Amino acid sequence: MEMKSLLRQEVLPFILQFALLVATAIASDRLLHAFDLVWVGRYLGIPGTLMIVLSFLYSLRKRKMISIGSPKGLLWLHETLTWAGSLLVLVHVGVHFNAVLAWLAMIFMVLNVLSGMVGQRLLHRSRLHLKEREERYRSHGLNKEEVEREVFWDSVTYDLMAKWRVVHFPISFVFGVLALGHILSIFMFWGWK
Amino acid sequence: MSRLVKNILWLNMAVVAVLTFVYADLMVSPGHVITGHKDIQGDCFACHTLFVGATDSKCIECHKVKDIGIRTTRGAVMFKDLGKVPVAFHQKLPEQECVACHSDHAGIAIYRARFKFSHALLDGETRKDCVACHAKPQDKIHEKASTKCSQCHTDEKWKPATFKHELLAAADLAQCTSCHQASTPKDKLHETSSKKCGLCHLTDKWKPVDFKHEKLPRADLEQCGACHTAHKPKDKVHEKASDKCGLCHLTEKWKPATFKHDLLPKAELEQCASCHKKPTDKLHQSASEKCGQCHVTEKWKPAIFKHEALPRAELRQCVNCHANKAPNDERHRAASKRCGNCHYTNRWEPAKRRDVDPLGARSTAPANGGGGWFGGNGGDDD
Repeated sequence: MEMKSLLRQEVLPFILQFALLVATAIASDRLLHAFDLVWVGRYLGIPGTLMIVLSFLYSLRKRKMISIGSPKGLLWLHETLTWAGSLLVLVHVGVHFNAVLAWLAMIFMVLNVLSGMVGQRLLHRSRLHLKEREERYRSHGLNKEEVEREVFWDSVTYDLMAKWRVVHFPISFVFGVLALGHILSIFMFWGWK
Repeated sequence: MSRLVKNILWLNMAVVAVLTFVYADLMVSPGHVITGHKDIQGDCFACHTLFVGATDSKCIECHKVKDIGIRTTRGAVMFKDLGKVPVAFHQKLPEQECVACHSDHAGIAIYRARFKFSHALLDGETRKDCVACHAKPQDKIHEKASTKCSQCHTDEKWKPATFKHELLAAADLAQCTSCHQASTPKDKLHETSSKKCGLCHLTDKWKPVDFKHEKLPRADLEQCGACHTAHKPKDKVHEKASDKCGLCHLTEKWKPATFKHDLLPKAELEQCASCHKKPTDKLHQSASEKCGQCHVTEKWKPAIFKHEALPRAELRQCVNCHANKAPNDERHRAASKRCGNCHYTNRWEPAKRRDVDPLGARSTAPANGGGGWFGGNGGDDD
Protein backbone atom coordinates (compact mmCIF):
# COMPACT_ATOMS: atom_id res chain seq x y z
CA MET A 1 0.00 0.00 0.00
CA GLU A 2 2.82 2.33 1.01
CA MET A 3 4.75 1.38 -2.15
CA LYS A 4 1.73 2.11 -4.35
CA SER A 5 1.32 5.49 -2.72
CA LEU A 6 5.01 6.31 -3.26
CA LEU A 7 4.80 5.31 -6.92
CA ARG A 8 1.64 7.31 -7.55
CA GLN A 9 2.49 10.39 -5.53
CA GLU A 10 6.21 10.77 -6.12
CA VAL A 11 7.80 8.50 -8.71
CA LEU A 12 5.25 8.95 -11.50
CA PRO A 13 5.02 12.76 -11.20
CA PHE A 14 8.84 12.86 -11.18
CA ILE A 15 9.12 10.78 -14.35
CA LEU A 16 6.32 12.68 -16.09
CA GLN A 17 7.82 16.06 -15.22
CA PHE A 18 11.22 15.09 -16.63
CA ALA A 19 9.72 13.34 -19.67
CA LEU A 20 7.68 16.47 -20.38
CA LEU A 21 10.83 18.57 -20.27
CA VAL A 22 12.67 16.32 -22.73
CA ALA A 23 9.68 15.86 -25.04
CA THR A 24 8.94 19.59 -25.15
CA ALA A 25 12.58 20.35 -25.93
CA ILE A 26 12.65 17.82 -28.78
CA ALA A 27 9.30 19.03 -30.16
CA SER A 28 10.43 22.68 -30.03
CA ASP A 29 13.68 21.82 -31.80
CA ARG A 30 11.75 19.90 -34.50
CA LEU A 31 9.42 22.85 -34.98
CA LEU A 32 12.31 25.27 -35.40
CA HIS A 33 13.85 22.97 -37.99
CA ALA A 34 10.53 22.55 -39.78
CA PHE A 35 10.05 26.31 -40.10
CA ASP A 36 13.71 26.93 -40.92
CA LEU A 37 14.11 28.89 -37.70
CA VAL A 38 17.09 27.03 -36.27
CA TRP A 39 18.85 30.35 -35.75
CA VAL A 40 16.16 31.30 -33.20
CA GLY A 41 17.19 28.33 -31.05
CA ARG A 42 20.70 29.72 -30.90
CA TYR A 43 19.44 32.84 -29.08
CA LEU A 44 17.09 30.94 -26.72
CA GLY A 45 20.15 30.30 -24.54
CA ILE A 46 20.01 33.93 -23.40
CA PRO A 47 16.46 34.01 -21.94
CA GLY A 48 17.01 30.47 -20.61
CA THR A 49 20.11 31.55 -18.72
CA LEU A 50 18.41 34.71 -17.42
CA MET A 51 15.49 32.66 -16.09
CA ILE A 52 17.84 30.28 -14.31
CA VAL A 53 19.78 33.21 -12.84
CA LEU A 54 16.50 34.79 -11.70
CA SER A 55 15.47 31.55 -9.99
CA PHE A 56 18.42 31.98 -7.58
CA LEU A 57 16.41 34.67 -5.79
CA TYR A 58 15.00 31.80 -3.73
CA SER A 59 18.48 30.58 -2.81
CA LEU A 60 19.44 34.09 -1.70
CA ARG A 61 16.20 34.46 0.29
CA LYS A 62 16.69 31.07 1.94
CA ARG A 63 20.19 32.02 3.05
CA LYS A 64 18.79 35.37 4.27
CA MET A 65 21.02 37.25 1.83
CA ILE A 66 17.91 39.15 0.73
CA SER A 67 14.69 39.70 2.66
CA ILE A 68 12.19 40.48 -0.08
CA GLY A 69 9.50 38.03 -1.22
CA SER A 70 7.78 35.15 0.54
CA PRO A 71 9.87 31.95 0.69
CA LYS A 72 6.92 29.92 -0.56
CA GLY A 73 6.38 32.15 -3.60
CA LEU A 74 10.08 32.30 -4.36
CA LEU A 75 10.32 28.50 -4.11
CA TRP A 76 7.54 28.19 -6.70
CA LEU A 77 9.40 30.70 -8.85
CA HIS A 78 12.63 28.74 -8.38
CA GLU A 79 11.02 25.47 -9.47
CA THR A 80 9.19 27.01 -12.42
CA LEU A 81 11.97 29.21 -13.77
CA THR A 82 14.62 26.50 -13.56
CA TRP A 83 12.35 24.05 -15.41
CA ALA A 84 11.37 26.55 -18.12
CA GLY A 85 14.89 28.02 -18.33
CA SER A 86 16.36 24.54 -18.74
CA LEU A 87 13.84 23.86 -21.50
CA LEU A 88 14.99 26.94 -23.43
CA VAL A 89 18.64 26.01 -22.92
CA LEU A 90 17.96 22.45 -24.14
CA VAL A 91 16.37 23.84 -27.31
CA HIS A 92 19.36 26.17 -27.64
CA VAL A 93 21.67 23.16 -27.39
CA GLY A 94 19.79 21.07 -29.97
CA VAL A 95 21.78 17.98 -30.86
CA HIS A 96 24.90 19.73 -32.04
CA PHE A 97 28.06 18.04 -30.88
CA ASN A 98 30.45 20.94 -30.90
CA ALA A 99 32.37 22.54 -28.03
CA VAL A 100 33.06 20.18 -25.10
CA LEU A 101 32.70 22.94 -22.51
CA ALA A 102 29.17 23.70 -23.67
CA TRP A 103 28.28 20.02 -23.56
CA LEU A 104 29.63 19.64 -20.02
CA ALA A 105 27.55 22.65 -18.97
CA MET A 106 24.49 21.08 -20.55
CA ILE A 107 25.07 17.72 -18.86
CA PHE A 108 25.41 19.37 -15.46
CA MET A 109 22.33 21.47 -16.11
CA VAL A 110 20.31 18.29 -16.73
CA LEU A 111 21.81 16.69 -13.61
CA ASN A 112 20.89 19.83 -11.74
CA VAL A 113 17.32 19.69 -13.00
CA LEU A 114 17.06 16.01 -12.00
CA SER A 115 18.53 16.80 -8.60
CA GLY A 116 16.13 19.73 -8.17
CA MET A 117 13.18 17.53 -9.07
CA VAL A 118 14.29 14.94 -6.52
CA GLY A 119 14.41 17.75 -3.93
CA GLN A 120 10.96 18.86 -5.00
CA ARG A 121 9.56 15.34 -4.44
CA LEU A 122 11.39 15.00 -1.11
CA LEU A 123 9.93 18.29 0.09
CA HIS A 124 6.50 17.20 -0.99
CA ARG A 125 6.97 13.91 0.81
CA SER A 126 8.16 15.64 3.95
CA ARG A 127 5.12 17.87 4.10
CA LEU A 128 2.74 14.95 3.70
CA HIS A 129 4.71 12.93 6.19
CA LEU A 130 4.60 15.60 8.91
CA LYS A 131 0.93 16.32 8.46
CA GLU A 132 -0.14 12.70 8.43
CA ARG A 133 2.00 11.73 11.38
CA GLU A 134 0.81 14.56 13.62
CA GLU A 135 -2.81 13.74 12.94
CA ARG A 136 -2.26 10.02 13.35
CA TYR A 137 -0.45 10.42 16.69
CA ARG A 138 -3.23 12.54 18.06
CA SER A 139 -5.97 10.25 16.82
CA HIS A 140 -4.21 7.27 18.46
CA GLY A 141 -4.31 9.11 21.75
CA LEU A 142 -0.53 9.13 22.28
CA ASN A 143 0.74 11.12 25.18
CA LYS A 144 3.24 13.93 24.86
CA GLU A 145 6.36 11.74 25.35
CA GLU A 146 5.23 9.27 22.78
CA VAL A 147 4.46 12.05 20.28
CA GLU A 148 7.96 13.49 20.85
CA ARG A 149 9.54 10.13 20.20
CA GLU A 150 7.66 9.80 16.97
CA VAL A 151 8.53 13.32 15.96
CA PHE A 152 12.16 12.20 16.08
CA TRP A 153 11.50 10.11 13.05
CA ASP A 154 9.96 13.13 11.42
CA SER A 155 13.19 14.94 11.88
CA VAL A 156 14.80 12.21 9.84
CA THR A 157 12.80 13.54 6.91
CA TYR A 158 14.27 16.98 7.44
CA ASP A 159 17.69 15.42 7.66
CA LEU A 160 17.01 13.85 4.32
CA MET A 161 16.41 17.33 2.83
CA ALA A 162 19.64 18.53 4.36
CA LYS A 163 21.48 15.57 2.87
CA TRP A 164 19.90 16.27 -0.48
CA ARG A 165 21.22 19.83 -0.35
CA VAL A 166 24.72 18.42 0.09
CA VAL A 167 24.35 16.82 -3.32
CA HIS A 168 22.30 19.53 -5.02
CA PHE A 169 24.58 22.44 -4.20
CA PRO A 170 27.79 21.03 -5.72
CA ILE A 171 25.95 20.05 -8.88
CA SER A 172 24.53 23.58 -9.11
CA PHE A 173 27.95 25.01 -8.45
CA VAL A 174 29.65 22.97 -11.16
CA PHE A 175 26.84 23.77 -13.59
CA GLY A 176 27.20 27.46 -12.76
CA VAL A 177 30.95 27.45 -13.34
CA LEU A 178 30.74 25.49 -16.61
CA ALA A 179 27.88 27.66 -17.89
CA LEU A 180 29.88 30.75 -16.96
CA GLY A 181 32.86 29.36 -18.87
CA HIS A 182 30.69 28.74 -21.90
CA ILE A 183 29.14 32.21 -21.73
CA LEU A 184 32.54 33.80 -21.26
CA SER A 185 33.93 31.96 -24.29
CA ILE A 186 31.01 33.22 -26.35
CA PHE A 187 31.68 36.79 -25.29
CA MET A 188 35.36 36.32 -26.07
CA PHE A 189 34.97 34.89 -29.56
CA TRP A 190 31.50 35.64 -30.85
CA GLY A 191 30.82 38.60 -33.09
CA TRP A 192 27.50 40.14 -32.09
CA LYS A 193 26.29 41.35 -35.43
CA MET B 1 29.33 21.15 2.37
CA SER B 2 32.44 19.50 3.71
CA ARG B 3 35.91 20.89 3.07
CA LEU B 4 36.84 17.76 1.12
CA VAL B 5 33.93 18.18 -1.28
CA LYS B 6 34.79 21.85 -1.73
CA ASN B 7 38.41 21.02 -2.52
CA ILE B 8 37.40 18.36 -5.02
CA LEU B 9 35.06 20.84 -6.66
CA TRP B 10 37.71 23.53 -6.98
CA LEU B 11 40.23 21.00 -8.26
CA ASN B 12 37.84 19.85 -10.94
CA MET B 13 37.07 23.39 -11.95
CA ALA B 14 40.76 24.16 -12.17
CA VAL B 15 41.29 21.14 -14.44
CA VAL B 16 38.44 22.25 -16.69
CA ALA B 17 39.89 25.78 -16.84
CA VAL B 18 43.31 24.47 -17.83
CA LEU B 19 41.83 22.16 -20.46
CA THR B 20 39.84 25.06 -21.86
CA PHE B 21 42.96 27.11 -22.46
CA VAL B 22 45.19 24.25 -23.61
CA TYR B 23 42.64 22.57 -25.90
CA ALA B 24 40.59 25.61 -26.82
CA ASP B 25 39.66 24.20 -30.23
CA LEU B 26 38.03 21.20 -28.50
CA MET B 27 36.59 22.89 -25.44
CA VAL B 28 35.33 26.12 -26.98
CA SER B 29 35.41 25.88 -30.76
CA PRO B 30 32.03 25.16 -32.41
CA GLY B 31 33.42 22.52 -34.76
CA HIS B 32 36.36 22.20 -37.11
CA VAL B 33 37.51 25.05 -39.29
CA ILE B 34 37.59 24.74 -43.09
CA THR B 35 40.42 22.75 -44.68
CA GLY B 36 42.20 25.90 -45.81
CA HIS B 37 42.48 27.07 -42.21
CA LYS B 38 43.62 23.71 -40.84
CA ASP B 39 47.05 25.06 -39.99
CA ILE B 40 45.60 27.68 -37.66
CA GLN B 41 42.98 25.37 -36.06
CA GLY B 42 44.11 26.07 -32.48
CA ASP B 43 44.99 29.74 -32.95
CA CYS B 44 41.60 31.30 -32.23
CA PHE B 45 42.93 34.83 -32.33
CA ALA B 46 44.28 34.40 -35.83
CA CYS B 47 40.72 35.23 -36.91
CA HIS B 48 38.98 36.37 -33.73
CA THR B 49 39.49 39.61 -31.89
CA LEU B 50 38.84 39.41 -28.16
CA PHE B 51 35.21 40.26 -27.28
CA VAL B 52 34.55 41.37 -30.88
CA GLY B 53 34.55 38.09 -32.77
CA ALA B 54 35.82 37.29 -36.25
CA THR B 55 36.43 40.58 -38.01
CA ASP B 56 36.66 41.41 -41.70
CA SER B 57 39.98 43.15 -41.13
CA LYS B 58 41.46 39.88 -39.83
CA CYS B 59 40.27 38.07 -42.96
CA ILE B 60 41.66 40.74 -45.26
CA GLU B 61 45.04 40.59 -43.53
CA CYS B 62 45.56 37.27 -45.32
CA HIS B 63 42.99 37.40 -48.11
CA LYS B 64 43.89 40.55 -50.01
CA VAL B 65 40.74 41.60 -51.81
CA LYS B 66 42.53 42.48 -55.02
CA ASP B 67 44.00 38.95 -55.18
CA ILE B 68 40.90 36.92 -54.35
CA GLY B 69 40.20 34.51 -57.18
CA ILE B 70 43.48 35.43 -58.86
CA ARG B 71 46.24 34.52 -56.41
CA THR B 72 46.32 32.33 -53.30
CA THR B 73 47.09 33.81 -49.89
CA ARG B 74 50.64 32.54 -50.38
CA GLY B 75 50.93 34.49 -53.64
CA ALA B 76 50.64 31.56 -56.06
CA VAL B 77 48.90 32.49 -59.33
CA MET B 78 45.63 30.59 -59.74
CA PHE B 79 45.23 31.27 -63.47
CA LYS B 80 48.24 31.14 -65.75
CA ASP B 81 46.29 32.97 -68.41
CA LEU B 82 45.10 36.08 -66.66
CA GLY B 83 42.80 36.73 -69.60
CA LYS B 84 40.75 33.72 -68.49
CA VAL B 85 40.20 34.97 -64.98
CA PRO B 86 36.47 34.91 -64.23
CA VAL B 87 34.73 38.10 -63.32
CA ALA B 88 36.46 39.81 -60.42
CA PHE B 89 33.54 39.36 -58.06
CA HIS B 90 35.02 40.17 -54.66
CA GLN B 91 36.83 43.18 -56.01
CA LYS B 92 33.55 44.71 -57.15
CA LEU B 93 31.63 44.24 -53.93
CA PRO B 94 30.51 47.58 -52.51
CA GLU B 95 31.34 46.47 -48.94
CA GLN B 96 33.92 44.02 -47.64
CA GLU B 97 31.87 42.01 -45.13
CA CYS B 98 33.47 38.60 -45.27
CA VAL B 99 31.47 36.95 -42.48
CA ALA B 100 28.21 38.09 -44.05
CA CYS B 101 28.71 35.28 -46.56
CA HIS B 102 31.46 33.04 -45.19
CA SER B 103 31.41 30.98 -42.04
CA ASP B 104 34.29 28.88 -40.94
CA HIS B 105 33.46 26.50 -38.11
CA ALA B 106 31.43 23.47 -39.18
CA GLY B 107 29.29 23.72 -36.05
CA ILE B 108 27.64 26.98 -36.97
CA ALA B 109 27.12 25.95 -40.58
CA ILE B 110 23.62 24.82 -39.70
CA TYR B 111 22.70 28.36 -38.81
CA ARG B 112 24.12 29.94 -41.91
CA ALA B 113 24.99 28.75 -45.39
CA ARG B 114 28.73 28.48 -45.75
CA PHE B 115 28.73 30.71 -48.78
CA LYS B 116 25.64 32.85 -48.73
CA PHE B 117 26.11 34.24 -52.18
CA SER B 118 23.57 36.61 -53.61
CA HIS B 119 23.51 38.07 -57.11
CA ALA B 120 22.23 41.24 -55.49
CA LEU B 121 25.80 41.79 -54.29
CA LEU B 122 27.00 42.20 -57.86
CA ASP B 123 27.13 45.52 -59.61
CA GLY B 124 24.61 46.07 -62.41
CA GLU B 125 26.91 45.36 -65.36
CA THR B 126 28.39 42.21 -63.87
CA ARG B 127 24.95 40.91 -62.92
CA LYS B 128 23.80 41.08 -66.55
CA ASP B 129 26.89 39.27 -67.81
CA CYS B 130 25.80 35.78 -66.73
CA VAL B 131 28.27 33.90 -68.91
CA ALA B 132 31.16 35.67 -67.24
CA CYS B 133 30.68 33.22 -64.35
CA HIS B 134 28.25 30.58 -65.64
CA ALA B 135 28.86 28.28 -68.58
CA LYS B 136 26.01 28.23 -71.03
CA PRO B 137 24.53 24.73 -71.37
CA GLN B 138 25.49 22.99 -74.60
CA ASP B 139 22.17 21.22 -75.10
CA LYS B 140 19.72 21.64 -77.95
CA ILE B 141 17.42 23.92 -76.01
CA HIS B 142 20.09 26.45 -75.25
CA GLU B 143 21.83 26.23 -78.60
CA LYS B 144 19.96 29.20 -80.01
CA ALA B 145 19.31 30.90 -76.70
CA SER B 146 20.90 34.24 -76.03
CA THR B 147 23.23 34.85 -73.11
CA LYS B 148 20.51 36.74 -71.30
CA CYS B 149 19.75 33.87 -68.94
CA SER B 150 17.37 36.04 -66.93
CA GLN B 151 14.86 35.90 -69.78
CA CYS B 152 14.00 32.41 -68.58
CA HIS B 153 15.88 31.78 -65.32
CA THR B 154 15.91 33.61 -62.01
CA ASP B 155 19.14 34.38 -60.20
CA GLU B 156 17.91 32.41 -57.17
CA LYS B 157 17.84 29.02 -58.85
CA TRP B 158 18.15 27.49 -62.30
CA LYS B 159 14.86 25.63 -62.15
CA PRO B 160 12.01 26.11 -62.65
CA ALA B 161 12.66 28.24 -65.70
CA THR B 162 9.91 30.22 -67.36
CA PHE B 163 10.48 30.01 -71.06
CA LYS B 164 8.46 32.34 -73.26
CA HIS B 165 8.04 31.28 -76.85
CA GLU B 166 7.34 34.85 -77.83
CA LEU B 167 10.99 35.60 -77.28
CA LEU B 168 11.91 33.36 -80.20
CA ALA B 169 12.37 34.59 -83.72
CA ALA B 170 9.46 33.72 -86.02
CA ALA B 171 11.58 31.29 -88.00
CA ASP B 172 12.72 29.47 -84.85
CA LEU B 173 9.23 29.45 -83.42
CA ALA B 174 8.04 27.37 -86.36
CA GLN B 175 10.81 24.81 -85.80
CA CYS B 176 9.32 23.21 -82.71
CA THR B 177 11.27 19.98 -83.00
CA SER B 178 14.59 21.74 -82.96
CA CYS B 179 14.02 21.98 -79.19
CA HIS B 180 11.24 19.49 -78.53
CA GLN B 181 12.54 16.58 -80.55
CA ALA B 182 12.75 14.30 -77.55
CA SER B 183 9.24 15.33 -76.55
CA THR B 184 7.58 14.48 -79.85
CA PRO B 185 5.32 11.49 -79.32
CA LYS B 186 6.34 8.37 -81.22
CA ASP B 187 2.79 7.22 -81.81
CA LYS B 188 1.02 6.68 -85.11
CA LEU B 189 -0.89 9.89 -84.78
CA HIS B 190 2.25 12.01 -84.78
CA GLU B 191 4.23 9.85 -87.16
CA THR B 192 3.01 11.65 -90.25
CA SER B 193 2.36 14.98 -88.63
CA SER B 194 4.44 17.91 -89.65
CA LYS B 195 6.99 19.42 -87.32
CA LYS B 196 4.81 22.43 -86.87
CA CYS B 197 3.36 21.40 -83.55
CA GLY B 198 1.70 24.78 -83.26
CA LEU B 199 -0.87 23.71 -85.84
CA CYS B 200 -2.55 21.69 -83.12
CA HIS B 201 -0.81 22.44 -79.81
CA LEU B 202 -0.39 25.60 -77.81
CA THR B 203 3.00 26.76 -76.56
CA ASP B 204 2.09 26.90 -72.89
CA LYS B 205 0.76 23.34 -72.61
CA TRP B 206 0.46 20.19 -74.70
CA LYS B 207 -3.20 19.58 -74.02
CA PRO B 208 -5.96 20.35 -74.85
CA VAL B 209 -5.25 19.99 -78.54
CA ASP B 210 -6.89 22.07 -81.21
CA PHE B 211 -6.57 19.61 -84.10
CA LYS B 212 -8.26 20.49 -87.35
CA HIS B 213 -8.15 18.20 -90.35
CA GLU B 214 -8.23 21.21 -92.66
CA LYS B 215 -4.76 22.11 -91.42
CA LEU B 216 -3.36 18.91 -92.87
CA PRO B 217 -1.81 18.92 -96.33
CA ARG B 218 -4.19 17.56 -98.98
CA ALA B 219 -2.09 14.45 -99.44
CA ASP B 220 -2.10 13.61 -95.73
CA LEU B 221 -5.78 14.37 -95.39
CA GLU B 222 -6.65 11.44 -97.65
CA GLN B 223 -4.41 9.04 -95.73
CA CYS B 224 -6.81 8.56 -92.83
CA GLY B 225 -5.34 5.17 -92.00
CA ALA B 226 -1.96 6.73 -91.35
CA CYS B 227 -3.34 8.11 -88.10
CA HIS B 228 -6.54 6.17 -87.57
CA THR B 229 -5.34 2.63 -88.28
CA ALA B 230 -6.30 1.45 -84.87
CA HIS B 231 -9.71 3.01 -85.30
CA LYS B 232 -10.69 1.30 -88.56
CA PRO B 233 -13.49 -1.14 -87.74
CA LYS B 234 -12.82 -4.81 -88.38
CA ASP B 235 -16.39 -5.58 -89.38
CA LYS B 236 -17.77 -6.84 -92.68
CA VAL B 237 -18.86 -3.41 -93.80
CA HIS B 238 -15.35 -1.96 -93.58
CA GLU B 239 -13.49 -5.06 -94.65
CA LYS B 240 -13.36 -3.98 -98.28
CA ALA B 241 -13.57 -0.27 -97.61
CA SER B 242 -10.64 1.82 -98.75
CA ASP B 243 -8.55 3.92 -96.34
CA LYS B 244 -10.31 6.98 -97.60
CA CYS B 245 -12.63 7.18 -94.64
CA GLY B 246 -13.72 10.61 -95.74
CA LEU B 247 -15.75 9.06 -98.55
CA CYS B 248 -18.37 8.10 -95.99
CA HIS B 249 -17.37 9.70 -92.68
CA LEU B 250 -16.90 13.28 -91.65
CA THR B 251 -13.73 14.46 -89.89
CA GLU B 252 -15.65 15.83 -86.92
CA LYS B 253 -17.35 12.57 -85.92
CA TRP B 254 -17.69 8.97 -87.03
CA LYS B 255 -21.47 8.89 -87.15
CA PRO B 256 -23.67 9.50 -88.97
CA ALA B 257 -21.79 8.19 -91.99
CA THR B 258 -23.03 8.82 -95.54
CA PHE B 259 -22.27 5.74 -97.62
CA LYS B 260 -22.71 6.03 -101.36
CA HIS B 261 -22.99 2.78 -103.28
CA ASP B 262 -21.98 4.39 -106.52
CA LEU B 263 -18.50 4.80 -105.06
CA LEU B 264 -18.10 1.03 -105.16
CA PRO B 265 -16.55 -0.68 -108.14
CA LYS B 266 -19.12 -2.27 -110.44
CA ALA B 267 -18.10 -5.79 -109.44
CA GLU B 268 -18.50 -5.13 -105.73
CA LEU B 269 -21.73 -3.26 -106.21
CA GLU B 270 -23.42 -6.48 -107.24
CA GLN B 271 -22.07 -8.37 -104.23
CA CYS B 272 -24.64 -6.95 -101.83
CA ALA B 273 -24.40 -9.87 -99.43
CA SER B 274 -20.73 -9.21 -98.85
CA CYS B 275 -21.88 -6.27 -96.75
CA HIS B 276 -25.60 -6.73 -96.17
CA LYS B 277 -27.25 -9.65 -94.52
CA LYS B 278 -29.88 -11.28 -96.69
CA PRO B 279 -33.30 -11.72 -95.01
CA THR B 280 -34.10 -15.33 -94.15
CA ASP B 281 -37.81 -15.18 -94.88
CA LYS B 282 -39.64 -17.26 -97.48
CA LEU B 283 -39.79 -14.38 -99.90
CA HIS B 284 -36.03 -14.01 -100.07
CA GLN B 285 -35.15 -17.66 -99.72
CA SER B 286 -34.98 -18.28 -103.45
CA ALA B 287 -33.99 -14.71 -104.33
CA SER B 288 -30.58 -14.18 -105.82
CA GLU B 289 -27.96 -12.10 -104.02
CA LYS B 290 -28.48 -9.32 -106.49
CA CYS B 291 -30.58 -7.27 -104.12
CA GLY B 292 -30.58 -4.40 -106.61
CA GLN B 293 -33.05 -6.32 -108.77
CA CYS B 294 -35.76 -5.33 -106.33
CA HIS B 295 -34.23 -2.87 -103.86
CA VAL B 296 -32.57 0.46 -104.35
CA THR B 297 -29.32 1.34 -102.60
CA GLU B 298 -30.75 4.31 -100.71
CA LYS B 299 -33.31 2.32 -98.70
CA TRP B 300 -34.70 -1.19 -98.34
CA LYS B 301 -38.35 -0.30 -98.80
CA PRO B 302 -40.31 0.11 -100.94
CA ALA B 303 -38.94 -2.71 -103.07
CA ILE B 304 -39.90 -3.19 -106.72
CA PHE B 305 -40.25 -6.89 -107.40
CA LYS B 306 -40.37 -7.96 -111.02
CA HIS B 307 -41.47 -11.49 -111.77
CA GLU B 308 -39.72 -11.43 -115.14
CA ALA B 309 -36.47 -11.36 -113.30
CA LEU B 310 -37.18 -14.80 -111.91
CA PRO B 311 -35.90 -17.88 -113.73
CA ARG B 312 -38.62 -19.62 -115.68
CA ALA B 313 -38.59 -22.60 -113.37
CA GLU B 314 -39.09 -20.53 -110.27
CA LEU B 315 -41.71 -18.38 -111.90
CA ARG B 316 -44.05 -21.35 -111.93
CA GLN B 317 -43.50 -22.05 -108.25
CA CYS B 318 -45.80 -19.25 -107.08
CA VAL B 319 -46.58 -20.86 -103.76
CA ASN B 320 -42.92 -20.79 -102.85
CA CYS B 321 -43.47 -17.17 -102.11
CA HIS B 322 -47.24 -16.77 -102.02
CA ALA B 323 -48.22 -19.89 -100.04
CA ASN B 324 -50.00 -17.99 -97.29
CA LYS B 325 -51.92 -15.82 -99.68
CA ALA B 326 -53.71 -18.56 -101.63
CA PRO B 327 -57.47 -18.41 -100.84
CA ASN B 328 -58.69 -21.41 -98.96
CA ASP B 329 -61.92 -21.86 -100.90
CA GLU B 330 -63.18 -24.84 -102.78
CA ARG B 331 -62.21 -23.46 -106.20
CA HIS B 332 -58.57 -22.77 -105.24
CA ARG B 333 -58.13 -25.94 -103.26
CA ALA B 334 -58.95 -27.82 -106.46
CA ALA B 335 -56.74 -25.55 -108.62
CA SER B 336 -53.15 -26.32 -109.38
CA LYS B 337 -50.40 -24.40 -107.63
CA ARG B 338 -49.63 -22.57 -110.82
CA CYS B 339 -51.43 -19.39 -109.92
CA GLY B 340 -50.33 -17.88 -113.19
CA ASN B 341 -52.74 -20.10 -114.99
CA CYS B 342 -55.52 -17.78 -113.88
CA HIS B 343 -53.88 -14.74 -112.25
CA TYR B 344 -51.58 -12.02 -113.42
CA THR B 345 -48.36 -11.39 -111.59
CA ASN B 346 -49.06 -7.74 -110.96
CA ARG B 347 -52.51 -8.20 -109.38
CA TRP B 348 -54.75 -10.91 -108.02
CA GLU B 349 -58.03 -9.57 -109.33
CA PRO B 350 -59.45 -9.62 -111.83
CA ALA B 351 -58.22 -13.07 -112.76
CA LYS B 352 -57.54 -13.61 -116.42
CA ARG B 353 -59.42 -16.94 -116.33
CA ARG B 354 -62.41 -18.14 -114.43
CA ASP B 355 -63.03 -21.38 -116.24
CA VAL B 356 -61.53 -23.66 -113.75
CA ASP B 357 -64.18 -26.02 -112.50
CA PRO B 358 -63.83 -26.51 -108.85
CA LEU B 359 -65.08 -30.03 -109.32
CA GLY B 360 -62.55 -30.79 -112.00
CA ALA B 361 -64.53 -29.71 -115.16
CA ARG B 362 -62.70 -27.11 -117.23
CA SER B 363 -64.30 -24.35 -119.28
CA THR B 364 -62.51 -23.08 -122.32
CA ALA B 365 -63.91 -19.57 -122.16
CA PRO B 366 -61.52 -17.05 -120.79
CA ALA B 367 -62.88 -14.56 -118.29
CA ASN B 368 -61.67 -11.48 -120.08
CA GLY B 369 -60.49 -12.42 -123.49
CA GLY B 370 -57.80 -14.81 -122.30
CA GLY B 371 -54.17 -15.14 -123.20
CA GLY B 372 -51.32 -17.51 -122.46
CA TRP B 373 -49.02 -17.57 -119.56
CA PHE B 374 -48.91 -14.04 -118.39
CA GLY B 375 -49.56 -13.04 -121.89
CA GLY B 376 -53.26 -12.10 -121.70
CA ASN B 377 -54.53 -8.70 -122.53
CA GLY B 378 -55.76 -8.33 -118.97
CA GLY B 379 -52.48 -6.77 -118.11
CA ASP B 380 -48.90 -7.74 -118.02
CA ASP B 381 -46.52 -7.17 -115.26
CA ASP B 382 -45.31 -3.74 -115.33
